[in-house]
Amino acid sequence: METNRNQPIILAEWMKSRRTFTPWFLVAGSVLVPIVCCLIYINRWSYFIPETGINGWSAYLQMNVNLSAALMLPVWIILLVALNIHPEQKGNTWKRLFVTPVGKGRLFIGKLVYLSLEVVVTLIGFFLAIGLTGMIAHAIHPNLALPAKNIPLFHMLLTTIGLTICLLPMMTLQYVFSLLTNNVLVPASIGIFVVIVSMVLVQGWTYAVYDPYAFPVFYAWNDCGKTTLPHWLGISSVEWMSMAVCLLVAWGGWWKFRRISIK
Amino acid sequence: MITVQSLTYSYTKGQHVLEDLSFHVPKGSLFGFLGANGSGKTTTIRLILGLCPPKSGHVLVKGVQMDSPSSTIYKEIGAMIEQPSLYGHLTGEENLQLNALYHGIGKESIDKTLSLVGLKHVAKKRAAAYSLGMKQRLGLALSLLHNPELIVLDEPLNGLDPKGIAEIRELLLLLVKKEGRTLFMSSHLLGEVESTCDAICVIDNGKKLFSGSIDELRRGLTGQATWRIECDRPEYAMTLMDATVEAALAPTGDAFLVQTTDKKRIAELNKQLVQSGIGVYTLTPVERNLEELYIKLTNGN
Repeated sequence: METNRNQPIILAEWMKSRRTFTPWFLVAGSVLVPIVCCLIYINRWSYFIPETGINGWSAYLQMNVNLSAALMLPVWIILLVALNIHPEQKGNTWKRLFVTPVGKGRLFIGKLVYLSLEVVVTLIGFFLAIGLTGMIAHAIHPNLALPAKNIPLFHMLLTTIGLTICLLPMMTLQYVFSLLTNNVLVPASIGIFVVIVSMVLVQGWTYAVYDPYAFPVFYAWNDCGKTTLPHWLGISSVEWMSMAVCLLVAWGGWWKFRRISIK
Repeated sequence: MITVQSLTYSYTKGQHVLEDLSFHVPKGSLFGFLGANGSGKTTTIRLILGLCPPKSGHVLVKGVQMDSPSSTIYKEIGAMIEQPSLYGHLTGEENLQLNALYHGIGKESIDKTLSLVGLKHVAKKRAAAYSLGMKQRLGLALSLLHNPELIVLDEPLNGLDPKGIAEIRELLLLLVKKEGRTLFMSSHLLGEVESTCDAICVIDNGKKLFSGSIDELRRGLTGQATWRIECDRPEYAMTLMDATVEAALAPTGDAFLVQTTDKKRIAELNKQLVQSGIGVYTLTPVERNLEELYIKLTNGN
C-alpha cells in the first residue's frame, strides 16, 4: 500500500533527471574504476599473473573495490546528491512541491529512496563492469587467469550489498545537509573535505571506525583482510553501524524536514 | 473560503512584517490583494498556503487551520507564489506531467490545461527557453491542472503583454464567474484589479488599510459622490449654486463638478439650472478610479 503511494514520487524523481547529466554520471560511476583497472592489468599484465591454482578474480575484484571505496565512490556519492538536489534549488521548486497533496515527509522519503536506487543501480553496474573488463583483460592476456567461468558471483553479490550499505550513511548525511541548508555547493565542498580528512584518519586514528565517511574504506579493508572487524549474524560491525547511522540520520532529517518553512 | 484572523508575522524579533491582519474571502469571489512592494503580500500568501506558521493569529482555508495543515487540503488549492517554480530542463508538458504525478491525476487534463493558458504550441519546448510571459502562463497552468476550488496567485499578470493580460483576465473571470471557483490574487495592476475583482484588501507595512468592495472603498473615502454637469455657460451656472453644494469648474471648461451625498439634490439642481435658462446636456456621476483611491488610502506613500 505504502509502496503504491510512493511510486508516483519516485517516478517524478526519475522524470526530473531527464535531460540532465545524472544518467551519464551513474554510468561514469559504474565503469570508471573498472576501465582504469582493466587498462592497468593490460599494460602491466606480467605483475598480475596469479600463482598456479589461485583465482585471478580475487585480486582483480579487490583492486577495483579498494580503489573505489577509498575515494572514488565517496566523492561520487557527494556529487550525486548535489546533482539530485540542484534542480530543486535552481528552480526554487520546494514551494511548488509543498503545495501538492504529497506532504513534506513523503517528498523527503521519495527523494531519499530514489537516491538509494541510483546508488544500487550504479553498484550493480560497477560489478558488471568489473566482470566485463576482467574478461576483456583475460581475452587479451589469458595468463591473467580471469575466465568468465571463474567469476566469484556470490562474493561479488555480497560485496555489492555490503558496499551499498556502507555508502548509504554518507549519502543520507549529505542529503539531509543539502535539504536543510537548501544549498548544493556548501554541503558538497564540506563533504569532499571530510572525505579527504577521513582518508588520513583511517591510517591510524582508533575512532575512525565510527566516521560514516570512512565506512566504505573499512568495509573494503575487511573484505580483503587488511583489517578484521567483529561480525554479528554474519554481518560485519561496519555494516551494522552503517545501517544504524543511516536510519538515525534519515529519521532526524525526516523529522526536521517536515517542519521546514518557506520564508 | 479564506478567513484570516489577527495574523501577525515577523522574520526578525520585534520587526513585524504583518500586524493583526484580518480579512475574509467569500466563496466564489475574485479577491484582489493590494499593497506596495514589501508591504507583506507574499508573506500573507505563504501563510495562507501553510508554507510557514504565523507567530500569532490564524488562517482558515475551507475551515482548515493552515498552521500545520494536512497535505490533503492541497487537493483543493492551486497556487503560484512569486515567480513560477519551474524545472527549466523539462518541457512545459513535462512540468505539468510532474504535477499530475504529485496530484495523482491522469495525463488527460494536461492538454486541456495547456490549451486553456495558450501554451499548446510550445508544450514540447523546454521551460528555460520560455519568455517571462510564457513562464507566467505555465505557472498558472500548474496551479489549475488539478481543478482546485481555490486558486491563489501572486502577481499572475507580471510579465504579460497587453494581449496576454486580456487573455488571462478573461480566463480568471471564466474560472470565477462560470465555474464558481474562488480566486485570491495579489497584483500591482490596479486597473486590472478594478475591472476583475469583486472585493479587495489593501495593506501597507503589514497592516490592513481596507477590506471590502471597491464601491465601499469609494464611499468610505469620499463620503459623497461627485457629479459632472455639462451645460451652457458653466462658470455662470456655478454662481447659481447655493452654499450647501461644493462646485468646481471641470478642467475641460465645458462643465462643472458638484459633490453631494444625495441623488435627489442633483435632480433639484438640474431643475434650478433649467429654470434659470441654462441648457443642461449631461449629468454624469464621476467615479474615482482605484489608482486614485489607492493613493489616497495610502496617503500617497
